[in-house]
Amino acid sequence: MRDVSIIGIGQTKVGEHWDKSLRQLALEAMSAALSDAGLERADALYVGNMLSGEVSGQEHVAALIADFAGLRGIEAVKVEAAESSGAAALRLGYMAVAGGLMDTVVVCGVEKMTDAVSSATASAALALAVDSDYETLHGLSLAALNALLMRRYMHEYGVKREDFSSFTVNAHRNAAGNPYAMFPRPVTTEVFLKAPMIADPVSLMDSAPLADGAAAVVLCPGDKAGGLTAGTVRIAASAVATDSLAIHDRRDPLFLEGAYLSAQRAYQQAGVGSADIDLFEVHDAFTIIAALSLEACGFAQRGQGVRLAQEGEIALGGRIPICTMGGLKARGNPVGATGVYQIVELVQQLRGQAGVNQVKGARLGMAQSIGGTGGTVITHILEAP
Amino acid sequence: MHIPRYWRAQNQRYSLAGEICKQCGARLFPPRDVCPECRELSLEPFAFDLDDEIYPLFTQALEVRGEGLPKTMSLVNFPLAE
Repeated sequence: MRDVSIIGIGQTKVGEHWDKSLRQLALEAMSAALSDAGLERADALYVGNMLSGEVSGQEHVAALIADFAGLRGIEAVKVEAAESSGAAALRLGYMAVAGGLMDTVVVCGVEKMTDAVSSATASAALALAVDSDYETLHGLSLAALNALLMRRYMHEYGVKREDFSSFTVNAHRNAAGNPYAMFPRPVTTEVFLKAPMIADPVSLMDSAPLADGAAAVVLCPGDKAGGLTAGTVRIAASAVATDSLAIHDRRDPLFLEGAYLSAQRAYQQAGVGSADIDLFEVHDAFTIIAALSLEACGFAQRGQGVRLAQEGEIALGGRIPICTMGGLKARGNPVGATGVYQIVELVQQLRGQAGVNQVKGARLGMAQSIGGTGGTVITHILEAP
Repeated sequence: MHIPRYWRAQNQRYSLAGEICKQCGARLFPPRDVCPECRELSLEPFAFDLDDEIYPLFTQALEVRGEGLPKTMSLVNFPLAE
């Protein structure tokens, strides 16, 4: 198996892009990534996207984007794994290059949420990620399922609702230094406490905003990366794990087994442990998921994820900085693109290009992308040049 | 369908607004951001007209999205080079 490097990154600002279509967003990110890599073309394009069919009435988007980007003829496939679709596309790109099938691959995550007719349509589309027969059928949205988890967590570990505010405050503080973020401004605990409820105890400030956006990376074999560009970052690990879609089917709903398995496989591949990771792009679609992911990956003991945040250990200068460019909460959550945004942000950090948000001395970065409430969990570990 | 999707395509739908590539001269309809022939990014607006050849003409018999039947449609063969 060959070493795989990331040699180019690109992203659009996350937000409501009423004037841009899905294909235009993808083109903007891909052009930036190819230009960053010093390439005009690639052998293949893998697109991470969850909701193009449901929201835009458009499937078959990989060929659509390849053609629109002037890459007609190349191999192009869409990958869908709910909110972890972008990370799944990277996984496919990684396998293609590592396995020797492709030499240059573009991975693009893209989502166009504002083509949904209403926010109710968008929420219903997102609920496709959970068990249709046993969860959605009863009217349970993704927010509602997270509310069940958060309520139980509060009961089990004696945590108050306001304790979760540390995640939100940290994400927004970091987004203020990211020009691509949807909400680049700090928020206070008071703002968190006054936020309207979506599904008690999950409020608007526990929940990442659905948005439009695209992010892209260019991959090539490690031994060919040096001659192409200066800022190469190695993919030290790429791992996927699964769990039941429905939370009632899990041995312990407060333990994300998929996140645990995915992280363990990644640590094993990279030959490292959680203590070696310098920063962690966590899937903070909801504050409770950020806490559970930190615990499953070994950054906090069971029931201590929220405490870790309260103690400031997740800040840029803390023991394990998370959401270093704003995370899903404040950079924004363009669903199927989110997993690639995390990777772009890790590359910025590991190249030393994160500006005021730079994690000093960052050498190993980890990203974890989660589909649904944990049915698919994809972990990547990247290593600085 | 959501209004912004119509709005984004209004120029090509209502005034046949396409583009011409400044590098290779290819005429493009609908407009794109990259020329599919030469990958040039520099494209200029170009107005097509309706004095062009009807390519296939057909009548749709199977309703897809409640558009009403029978519905007659065609492709138009725009000249793509001078």
